[in-house]
Amino acid sequence: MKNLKSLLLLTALVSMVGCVNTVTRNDQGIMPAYQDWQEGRYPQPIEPVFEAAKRAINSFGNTTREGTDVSGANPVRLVEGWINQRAIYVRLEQVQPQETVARVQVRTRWGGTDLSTAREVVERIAVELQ
Amino acid sequence: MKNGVFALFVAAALLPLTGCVNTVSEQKTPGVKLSTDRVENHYEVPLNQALEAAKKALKNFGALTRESTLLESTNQVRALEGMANGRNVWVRVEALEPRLTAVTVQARGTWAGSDVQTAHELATRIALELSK
Repeated sequence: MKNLKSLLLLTALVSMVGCVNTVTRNDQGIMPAYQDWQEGRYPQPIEPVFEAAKRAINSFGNTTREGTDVSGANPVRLVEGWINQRAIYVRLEQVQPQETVARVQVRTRWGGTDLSTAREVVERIAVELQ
Repeated sequence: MKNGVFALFVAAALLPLTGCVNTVSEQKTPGVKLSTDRVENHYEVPLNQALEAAKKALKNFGALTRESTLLESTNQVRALEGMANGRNVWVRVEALEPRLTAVTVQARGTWAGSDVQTAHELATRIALELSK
């Protein structure tokens, strides 16, 4: 019985280890049980918002990757980088010709989230767009 | 004591099964690295030519879902992601010299296992595209 309890506990612990989904990769890993991203909507087409997002990340830290997701119907651009030793993932999707949605996710080295930094990046993108 | 040892053995056995595997596009995917899942070839062509060939080969073999520019390396590096033969595939195209490009193809299956056959097949198709 004790062995069974240990096994159940271990299985539960082990199942929590692994890859976590990021907003720039919608097909990998486990979705966390809580919202770990911030969203911003901007009345602009995707390209100016993409450039603003890169400038926003570079103003706090540095950009490590930029890309395009060609699997969906809407134009999607992706930016990743580091700010204060936290990984930043930004997914930009043009939902209307003049409206772009940005999802910003921040992860610490140990897999935790940092919503305040995500909020700052969302706001900084808006500032960079002006 | 016995329970503790037993639990440790179970943990040691289960832990590698829940890990992440590095992809050639410098990301992570769930899986276990038990065997080789990638093949690398060098071509005497500029990066853009190799990239276009890789994109064409991936589109013809399966589907291209994502392309990225990696900005951390000193070399120019482009990455492609997609599906081919029902497997997730990643392609890294790296300019080693102005006219020398390394193309690394990685393929992993649905159950997170490696599929080097698919990687080989895609690498061959890229080489064929380059020879056209």
